[in-house]
Amino acid sequence: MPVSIDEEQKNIMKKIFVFILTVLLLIVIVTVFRTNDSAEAERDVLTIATGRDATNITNYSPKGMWEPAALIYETLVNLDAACNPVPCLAETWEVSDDGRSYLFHLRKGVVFQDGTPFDADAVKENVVKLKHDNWSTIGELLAHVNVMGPHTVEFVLTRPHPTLFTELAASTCGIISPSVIVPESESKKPAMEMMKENAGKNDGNKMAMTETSSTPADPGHIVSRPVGTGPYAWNEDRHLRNRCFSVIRNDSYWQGTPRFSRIDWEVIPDASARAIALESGKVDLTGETPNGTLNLENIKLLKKNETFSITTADNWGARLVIVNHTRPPFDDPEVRSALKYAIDVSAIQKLLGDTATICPGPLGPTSPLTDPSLSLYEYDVEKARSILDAKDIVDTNGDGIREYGGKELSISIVSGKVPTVSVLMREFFREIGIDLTIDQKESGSTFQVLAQMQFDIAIHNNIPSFYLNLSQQFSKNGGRWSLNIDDPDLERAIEKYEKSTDMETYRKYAWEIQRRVHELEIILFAVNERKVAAYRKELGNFVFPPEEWVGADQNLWNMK
Amino acid sequence: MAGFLIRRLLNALLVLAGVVTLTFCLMRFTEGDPATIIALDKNGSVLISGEVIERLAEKNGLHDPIHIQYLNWWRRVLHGDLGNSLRSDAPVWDEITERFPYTLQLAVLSILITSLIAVPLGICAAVHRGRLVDRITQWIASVTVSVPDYYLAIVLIYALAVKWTLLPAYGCGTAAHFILPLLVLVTAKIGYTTRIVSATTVDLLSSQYVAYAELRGIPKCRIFYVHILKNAMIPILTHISLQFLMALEGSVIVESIFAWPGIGKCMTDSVLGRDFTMIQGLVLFMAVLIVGMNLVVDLFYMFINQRVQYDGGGAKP
Amino acid sequence: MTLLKKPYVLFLLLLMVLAVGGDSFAPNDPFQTHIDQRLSPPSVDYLFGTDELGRCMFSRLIYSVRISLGLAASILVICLVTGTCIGMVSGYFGGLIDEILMRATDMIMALPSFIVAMVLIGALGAGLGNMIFVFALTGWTRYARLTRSLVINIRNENYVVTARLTGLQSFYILRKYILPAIVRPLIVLGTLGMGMMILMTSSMSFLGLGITEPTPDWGAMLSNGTTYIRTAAYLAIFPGILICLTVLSFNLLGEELKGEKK
Repeated sequence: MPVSIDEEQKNIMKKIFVFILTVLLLIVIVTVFRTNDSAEAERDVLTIATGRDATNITNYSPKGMWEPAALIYETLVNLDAACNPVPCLAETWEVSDDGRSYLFHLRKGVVFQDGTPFDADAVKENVVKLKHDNWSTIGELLAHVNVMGPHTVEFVLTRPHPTLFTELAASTCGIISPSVIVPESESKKPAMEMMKENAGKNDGNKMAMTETSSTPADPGHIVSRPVGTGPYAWNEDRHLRNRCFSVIRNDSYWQGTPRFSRIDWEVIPDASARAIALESGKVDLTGETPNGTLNLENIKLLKKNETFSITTADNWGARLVIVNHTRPPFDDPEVRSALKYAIDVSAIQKLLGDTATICPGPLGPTSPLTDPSLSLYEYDVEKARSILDAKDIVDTNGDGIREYGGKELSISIVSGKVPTVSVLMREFFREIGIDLTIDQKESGSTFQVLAQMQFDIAIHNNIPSFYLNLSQQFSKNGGRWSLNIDDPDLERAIEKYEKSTDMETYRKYAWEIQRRVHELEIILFAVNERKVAAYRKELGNFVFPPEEWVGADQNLWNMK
Repeated sequence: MAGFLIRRLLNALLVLAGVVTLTFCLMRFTEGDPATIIALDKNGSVLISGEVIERLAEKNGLHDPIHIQYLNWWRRVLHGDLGNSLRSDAPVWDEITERFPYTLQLAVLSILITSLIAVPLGICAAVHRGRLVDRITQWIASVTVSVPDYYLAIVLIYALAVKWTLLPAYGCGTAAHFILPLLVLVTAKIGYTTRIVSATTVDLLSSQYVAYAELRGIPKCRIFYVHILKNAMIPILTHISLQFLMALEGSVIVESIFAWPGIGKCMTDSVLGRDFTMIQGLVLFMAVLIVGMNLVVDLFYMFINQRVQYDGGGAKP
Repeated sequence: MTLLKKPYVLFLLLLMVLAVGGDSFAPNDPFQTHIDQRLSPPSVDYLFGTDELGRCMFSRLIYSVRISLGLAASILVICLVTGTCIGMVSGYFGGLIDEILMRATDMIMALPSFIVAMVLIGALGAGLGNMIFVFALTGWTRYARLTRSLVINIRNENYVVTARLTGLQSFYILRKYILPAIVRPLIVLGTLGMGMMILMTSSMSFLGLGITEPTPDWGAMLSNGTTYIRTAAYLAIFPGILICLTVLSFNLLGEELKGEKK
């Protein structure tokens, strides 16, 4: 039974509605005006959009700290475009004939941002105290670090290492003010000791390696604050976790006055949103580090836009797409080659566009060790089919899928979160009568699957990028990422590669390894993920360093 | 009554114990090596080496036997120490307390706005039952319940942030950042709330004491305000408090889309990044919150309406 | 018969036909990639355009009806069956069994089901089987509760008591006397639950935790479309409209059935 209500109540209802609407409208108006205010940016400040926060709170070591690390910290040497070492914190250096001693003459008069002088002791303290942190890769090689004078320091290696300079130039090897390298808190010690105990129980050569390089009573150190010698200093006041971070100009910088008084980073996790932020003028630059990449569609849109410039560059290492050569029928290199002929690489290149370059080997087109003689196979479905036919892998029951050993030839591809390339490959293999299922895995489980060779085809996670370390993947003893290739020729080449002392022989054997692996037909193709920076044209020209691990942002301070 | 209270409390504790155990078990027996994941996340795929992974596994106690890990987890939970996030190394509890206010802001604001619109609308629809207002409300309710919140979010982002660039689509900071997430949250809930309000009011309008009051000649105005509104408030308030829990659940999608730095976003990131300790902490935190809310709602019912007897009445009907 | 005149019922019937017929209605192969025609806008050949791999969106949408609807329906059926069984046992026998079963129900109901499902999927990995499992794990409770209260209401009806006194077995009574009496409200709740289940499963796929490539699914397609929202908004718009219409239809049907009951 509906109850009728008199006019008075209707009026009250109306009033309530009008009130609510007005309030909502006011909120909208006020907030829209607010956003207009903030759009007016200061010209002296560079704002960059990135995908994630710079640090984790407890440790400010340059490892794992992307963007600001290259501006706060500096390395002993730097790399020029041709990947030769050029002076940075070290002015000159001498390498002994046996390739085991490196004597660095450090730059005088340089001070850290907190006033601590930069000298040989500071370098030694970095290397010794942070051996397990950001210096871990070099730490394996180092026998000792000797202070030869106030500004002279000697690195003695256990074995010659031709790419030591490239490693020293990585932004992870930035020199940190010794005043902020502090012992890890007492509470964490038991964990460290437990580690020592368990270490023995674990298998593998890699653990043995750790044991030799770590002294028993190593307390472990962390970096409590980011303080380096670089052009910009960490700006704690403007750091809001997962929202923004910032650095301010270091006015006493030894190379002159940096161009911007401050550099701010906005954390914008979504790639499209970063592009929109750039277009709307909220940020000036984005995409220049792996944390803040752009996607293909947005690059296309930005290219059409007159106000912005785009710089692209290849990386050194590439992501491998590999066949498991231990599982039949792919234990036969010819059968593997059939897969290579079946893949239309140009289609994959079209799909990835500017974001990647497809290359035949583990190293991208610009790395100093790339063998230029390698090339990808022509797309030839007929050839692929005839190879499989010749191997008697044929479709007997007429379902379009070939049989091998009495079973349908159905394989799977282990793929990451964005499986578009895998979907394309599924289509290519369907053409030649092989059924491919896509096994989407979290990156963590992919590692396990790869390490234990439990896959048919996989898009490998390991990128032999900056360290150009080919033995890790291709040697049988390479440890976790070894592809378990059983090939004496290859093993010999790797051995010589590892033992070479000069760049020439190093390159020679690197080429030999690449050629041998190519002949083995294990790599279907490799994806070299490109760097793409987009920025406002009036900023000048952004130049990528030779490799992103050198520090994607290090050129920002004097950007022309 | 004391018995009822004790049973509710015991039940709540049982639920919490179950949550602790379940989350622990599930995350340990999955494929994928957590230490590798952490190493990957901290160092990128380039710097990673077997040694780094081992070190991280040791540091996080991932090599201990499973029962030791379980006991350790219980001990730590009881001490209020949820451990450190596997990914960011930050204490989980700090992370939660830092992020929860953002979620709370959205939840409270959305419930407030929803109530401000839905309560008058629902009452209005109930009063004018069967007429245009009622039918329109019914339709709005049906439509809003059917639109997935993520779809609405994307359409709004497309229209307001991409096409016209009126509002910021992602993140938080200014008041403008609130508009889109709130719009989605409010729209998602408004239909349901209006329906509940209207149904409650309709029930009350047709109840005997209203008819009796009418017979006694009490002015309609007074019947409406004193008898109906007062009685309707109890179920409506309860419903609104339950909405808080729904907001917590809804925050997962909305925060993920709008990159809102609350616990919902944290949840998605942790699940995708397999940050065990973070997930454990978050689930535990949410469970405590929900169980606590349920208790409060039960007590609220009990005090308002002494007739409610213990029937194991949970959160939802 | 009046139901057949409603547009939403017709729409649901159409979906059923598409789900059963699937690929035979699709104008193109939903899996065939055409990289040269990637992201082409809607045209005569590709009614709803193509996605980033040049696959026909219209065909994929038609094909996905079977997947998305089938997934939601199978979860729902499992939930209904489990929930009804547990509810009937609990309501009919009462006592300790009731106490234990209802404590378990309470416990599960106290947890936020979507978050639980999300955490479980995160642990077990994405995939059809896991999706069904995790949603069924938390989904049965509401049906158990409803069934229990319905059974308690009719447990002491004359015909049930008579049946019991004649010495019929409990199982027989439950099946022959009680189940028919409670089936209608269960169907109503199930219809309403279907809409909710579609929303939940597609949300999961949207977050990248549900059905994965190359199988087309509404939530996953929508999520994929958001990447291209600036250049190819139709990729996200069409799956979204389909989800909305489907959920709306199920909800309206549920409301209608509920109204008829009264």
